[in-house]
This record gives sequence, C-alpha cells and structure tokens, in this order.
Amino acid sequence: MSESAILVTGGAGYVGAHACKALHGAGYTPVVFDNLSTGHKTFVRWGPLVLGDIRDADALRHTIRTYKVEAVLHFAASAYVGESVADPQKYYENNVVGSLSLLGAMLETGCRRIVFSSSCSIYGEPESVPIGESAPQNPVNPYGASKAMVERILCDYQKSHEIAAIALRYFNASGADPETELGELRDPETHLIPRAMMAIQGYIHDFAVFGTDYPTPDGTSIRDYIHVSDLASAHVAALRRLIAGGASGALNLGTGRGWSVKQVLDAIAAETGKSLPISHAPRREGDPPVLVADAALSRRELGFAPRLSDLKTIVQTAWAWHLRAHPRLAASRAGASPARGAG
Amino acid sequence: MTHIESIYSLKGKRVWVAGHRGMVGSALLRRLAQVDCTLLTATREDLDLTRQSEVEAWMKRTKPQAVFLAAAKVGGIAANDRWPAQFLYDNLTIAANVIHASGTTDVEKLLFLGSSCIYPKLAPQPIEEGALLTGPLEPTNQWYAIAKIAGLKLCQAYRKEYGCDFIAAMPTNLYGPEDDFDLATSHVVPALMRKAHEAKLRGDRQLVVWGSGTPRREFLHVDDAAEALVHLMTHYSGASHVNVGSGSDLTVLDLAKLIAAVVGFTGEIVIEPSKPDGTPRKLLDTSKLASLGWYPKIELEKGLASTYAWFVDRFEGATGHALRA
Repeated sequence: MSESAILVTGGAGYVGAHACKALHGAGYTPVVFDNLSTGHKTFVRWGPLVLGDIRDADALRHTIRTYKVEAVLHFAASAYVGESVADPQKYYENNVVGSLSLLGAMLETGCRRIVFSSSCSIYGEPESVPIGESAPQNPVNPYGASKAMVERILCDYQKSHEIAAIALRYFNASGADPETELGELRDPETHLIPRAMMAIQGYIHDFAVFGTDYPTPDGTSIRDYIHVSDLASAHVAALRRLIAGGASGALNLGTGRGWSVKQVLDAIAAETGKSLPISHAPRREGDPPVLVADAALSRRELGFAPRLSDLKTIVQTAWAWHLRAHPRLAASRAGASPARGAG
Repeated sequence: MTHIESIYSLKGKRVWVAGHRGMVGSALLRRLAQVDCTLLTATREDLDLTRQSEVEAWMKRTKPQAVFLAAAKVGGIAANDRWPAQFLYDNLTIAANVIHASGTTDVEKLLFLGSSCIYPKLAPQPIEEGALLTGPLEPTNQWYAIAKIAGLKLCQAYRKEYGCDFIAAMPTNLYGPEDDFDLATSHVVPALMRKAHEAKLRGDRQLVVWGSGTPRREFLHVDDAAEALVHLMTHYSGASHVNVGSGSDLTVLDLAKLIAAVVGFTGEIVIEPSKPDGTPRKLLDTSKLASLGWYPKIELEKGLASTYAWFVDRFEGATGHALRA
C-alpha cells in the first residue's frame, strides 16, 4: 500500500481503468472501488479492487481508512443515456445518491479532494458552439441531469465543507489504450466507434447512423472526440492540482475540433480496409447537430494538451483493441440497441 | 444493495460447524442462525475429531453438505512450547480426518479455518497471501502453524486431485465473546480487558502494559470474522487461501487506552519496557477479501464495549475475586 493511494470509484470501467493506468504511471496507487455491474475485473491491474456499491457509505469509509486514501477520482455511475430516459430512478440513485454517499464517507474520514467525471451532456442542446464552461446547463436526459446535479452539489460542498473538487466534462471519450491493455467493452454497446467496428467484425447487424439531414456539411452530426488516454492524463493533472492546493472548478475536456459521423466512419474504413454497411435512421431527440468543446480553459488551467486525440490515432487504437478483445458477448446481446452519434 | 453475486447458497443445506464450542465456531452458529439451513454440531464427547473412523462414521450418518472446519487445539505461546506434539498431532489429524472424509462423502463445500501464524516471522507488512512459505516461521508456535499450513495444502490438493470445492481462510487476531480470559493463556485483548477491569475494581492508580507499547497489531471482532467466513463460503471458490482481517492496526498502547476507556479505568497507563515486545507489526493484507465484496462492520471501540459487556455478564458478579479463582 503506497502512501499516495487514490480511490478510483468505477475504476473497472472504460475511462476509470485508463485513469488507473495513468495513476500508476505517475507513481500513485489506484484503489478501485467498483461493483462490477458494468466494469470488468480484468481491467483492474494497477492496484487493489474493492468490490462494493457506491451507495454503501460504510464500505467507502472503510476503504478510505484502510488504504489511507489521499484523494478520489469518482467515475462510478450509470452511463447509458437512453436507459436513463427509461429508468430515471436508477440514474438518480446511482449517480446522485451514490455521489452523496461518497461525499459523506469523504467528510467523515477527512478525505477532502475529488475529481469528478462529468459530461458535456450537462449542456444539452447548446445555443452556440464551441461550448464554453459557462454555457447554460440544460440537460435533456436524466443522465446529463444527474451529472449537472452532482456538479452543483460539489459547488455547495466546496463552500461549507472545504471539499476541493474539479469536475471534468468529457466530450466524446473514444479510442483505447495504445498498449491495447484496455478499451471499450460494453454490453450492450451503444457508442459509434465500437459499434461500427463490431459491425465490421460481423458481430452486429443493425448498425445505423441516426440523422443524415443535419445542417452540417455532410448531413451527419458532429462531435468532439477525445482519446481516453488523454482523458486519463487530464485526471492525473487535475489530481495533482488539487493535491498542490489548486483551485476547484469545472473544465471541459475536448479537442476543440469536431468530426462528423461520416468522417469517423471514413476513418474507420481507411484503418480497417473494410467498408461498412450503413443504414440510415432518423435523428433522435436530444441529439444536437454539433457538440464541440471550447477547450481553452483546461489547456490553461491544467496544462492539458491532447496527444492522442487525432481521429487517426483514436481509430487505430480502438481497432487494435477490437481485434484483440473480440467482444462476442456484447455482439450476441447488443441487437436491440441502436448506435449513438453522440456518446 | 450491493451487486455482488453469490456462487454458493447455504439455504436449505445441512451445515456442519466443526468446533462449534470455540470462539469462532460459536460465532459461526450465531451467524448461521440467520440463514435458513440445518445446523449440525457434535460435542467432543460424541465425536473425537482426531479419530478417523469416528469422523467418517459421523459424517456418513449426518451427511453434511457444507462444512466449516473451525475445530482446533489452540493455545498461546507457552502452551505451544510445552505441548508441541499435541499441537502438531491433534491439529494435523483433525484437518486430515475432516478434509478427507469430506472429500469422500457428499460434501459440496468446505471452509478450513487457519491462522495468521502460518506466515513467516519476517514477512513484509501488510502480509499478503503470497507470503506463505517464503521464510522461517515464528519458532514458538510453529507446531500449530505447520498443522494449519498442512490443512490449507490439503484443501488445495483435494481441489486439484478430486475437484473438491474446499477453501481456506486465515484470520487475524480475533476478539469477542467466548474469548479466553484466563491471564495465564489469554491473548492481548482479553488480558488487557481483565487487567483493566480488576484494576478498576481495586481502585488501582496504574494499569501496566507489557513491553514498550509500540508494537502494532490488528484485531477483528469474532462476529465480523464469522460473517466474513460465511461470505467466503458463499462468494469464493479458489485454491489460494484468503486473509480475513480488519485492514488496519494500532499500537498496543492505543489499544490499552481504548480498553481502559471502555472498562472505565481512569488511572494511568504505564508501559513496562523490560518485558518483551514481540514482532513490531502484524497486519494482514485484506485486499483479496475486499475484492470479494466484504469489509468489517464492527468498529474496534464498539466491539470492545460489547465484549466487555459479555465478559462482565459471564463472570458476574464480576468481582476481581471471582475472576481470580
């Protein structure tokens, strides 16, 4: 047990596990707290796994004390946008009540620093792009609303409890660990890049693009794709800033540049050498034409500069992971869930 | 609440707790009383676990489906030193008889209870499961330790050769009801508790703690241990043994202060550095148990308070004289 143990809730998930690898590389010991409801035990490789539920404050308290946790990276959350509309109770329970449980355990144990995994979905359909951190928050689904609520809660706790918190609002997390140790592995899979790759691999047969009549150059929606390993580095930078006594706040994590669904699919075709059977489907409610970050603030505040977030590298690393991971399980059960243009 | 899947259910099963009169065994009975299962027990008079034919006949008759092997000949350093043959032989035969009979009858699952003394004397702290057999044992209680190591190896061997779902758990220092409060043989928690209690009754100004007070030790309430063992029985299957501990330690002096507060002894706590300290730290690495979704629920202060209430009740009218008898 290192003296610089960092609790990583949801550390067996896609972004959380990449953050654990980055923490390990930076000399921290990631202590993963995960109930493995969507996470993978095999993703926990850089520190201990504590199997527990985020709503179990006693378990969190015990973990923080046992490992002498210095700070928390909080990823644990339910993260299917569509499911959040159908089952808001689950999203407010896991994401809001779960975060309150974590904060309670932190207050009781004197652990005062937290980096929170937020999302660009808190902005909803933006009035203008690129989206700055001070843009209005109008989430259009319970997932985004739950993230916005937790950000608000963190603001209040900063004032009354001396909690130091940085919320990182990701745009489209994508790509995979360049050493192919980690990557996207969901069941069901709903994200554009993995679904396109699974379709090429023959695991799914209902790949569709939602909306081809957007007011964009090629008619498909435009998103800001950020490589998951860049996200992980940003978390380490945010953590260091909090440990050094730096200011709390909320920061976008994006590149500031958008790619259309068609451009992404072209990049995938170029990488894999295979063309993709595409069916076109109507737009979905709450999917705006363009979501692109104003990425200036995180650059300035965290010194954050994406290194792997060019489309080619994202697609390359994701494809290498897909060839290795063979998500047959996801394929066999993913039939019902449509691809998302937005993450 | 927690999304932790059980892999083996005790519901409706015939469950044998071997050693049910011991501290852990009696805690297991309390815990298993909350489970809808049929509890099987045998007293020492009915069944001598060191006799192979008796064990086999008893198991054929009672047909246990799950076995908690918590029976052992136990004692402190002095007892180990005085009766090494008994400690080695009795514990070897108990383990061999019960594990072999379980492997040859219809036992579905067995949990063998060991002890943290199986680890090398100089194992790095906190002690990981992988530290087993990486160095010499503490010589004083090696007899007991060797028998416990043999027991856990038997579980591995029966798993490997016959596919038996036998697992092993290694608990840290336990305390709680049914502990040994005899000052000649007791461990640190009951010893300090009894000494503090008697000092309070006598109106002593001082409570003496052996040694420097600086060694760090880990303690787990026996009810927590029983819960952990049931959790392992229902959530774990694997060849490697699993540490069962609280995950944190404290100095003997801090322990003495806690106990004095619980007992209500208000005098001074003094150390006696001329007495031996033992190893500077003993703490199990409980990461494996945490990864299986279990953590202790009984905080040390509360556990000590309830243990003290039990002690006073058991030895009541808890005068110092009655206890010294």
